[in-house]
Amino acid sequence: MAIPEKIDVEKLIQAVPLLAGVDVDGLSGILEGAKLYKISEGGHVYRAGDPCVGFYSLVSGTVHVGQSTDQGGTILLRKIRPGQSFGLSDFLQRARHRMEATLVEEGLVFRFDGNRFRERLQQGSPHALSVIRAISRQMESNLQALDERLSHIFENPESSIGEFERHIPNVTKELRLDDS
Amino acid sequence: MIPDALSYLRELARFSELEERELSLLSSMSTVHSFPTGEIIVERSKKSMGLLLLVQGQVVAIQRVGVAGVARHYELSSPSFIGPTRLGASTDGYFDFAAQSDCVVLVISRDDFQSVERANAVISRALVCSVYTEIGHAVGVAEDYLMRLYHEPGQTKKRLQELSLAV
Repeated sequence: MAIPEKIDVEKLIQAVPLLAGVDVDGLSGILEGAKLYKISEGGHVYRAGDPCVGFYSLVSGTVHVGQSTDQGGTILLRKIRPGQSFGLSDFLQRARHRMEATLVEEGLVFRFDGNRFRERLQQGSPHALSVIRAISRQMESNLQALDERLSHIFENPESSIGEFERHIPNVTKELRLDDS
Repeated sequence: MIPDALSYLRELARFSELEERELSLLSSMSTVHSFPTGEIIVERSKKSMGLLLLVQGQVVAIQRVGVAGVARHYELSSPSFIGPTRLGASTDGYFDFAAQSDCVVLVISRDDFQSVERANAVISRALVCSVYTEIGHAVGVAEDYLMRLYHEPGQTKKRLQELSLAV
């Protein structure tokens, strides 16, 4: 369950690197509609298919972003630590969330209001532009991390096989006569 | 007549919200390059000349493994940035990107784009945001590909087994 918390603006600037280029005066416009939530362990920030209403920064706790499997497990895309942001590419593409974001450790999640933020961008807010520029830099880092992970899986193919065997359903394993 | 950058940009649905002057600005920072099927557009070991925007065709991310192995990863269709954009800190590239079909790529000068970013002029705000949106799109493609590897573990295992024989 997500419990709204009061926002301490000065602490927020320190906790959210996306706001690094923004002064306290400039924050009020960007923070319109924004919310700070306390979410308990196991709670979802969003689920796959949810409409994208904003983008998020983790203030405390740990978030796992990933997808559920048909077998009831979870594929981990990314671990989010305090100070990091998530839900970014979905926000920019105005898409529904493709992943789920779950607190694996109770924490505080800050959500920027997507519509209000876009309005600020369209109005030419330099602070909104500063934030979205920071978003673009984090996405560059995310893409690099993704490519690095893919590269690692395939550069030693034999040693990576086990990682995927774990995800093969047991019933399929029993039927596979050619598995050695 | 060979189309110029502006002609290609006008055709892209995801850039349709940009005004003509914004498209012209982006065009003025770009050069047009054509690549036949099979040609390497981005080499992992080389830093690209700018931001590479695929405006026609399809490319695939390729990883060379060992002596003779090749792993083909995610495919990108136009419009899409190809390879690291490097607007922030310099980032490593891990893959080559090859043309899967005849491709046209706009090379956007990184220096020019970063100047536009810093200027924060009214004329260029929507343009800058469009570029960021395309970076987000490329991230989404890579994320979806990675997730598919785990959603189809049998297929992935088979690919890895075949690759291990070729390495």
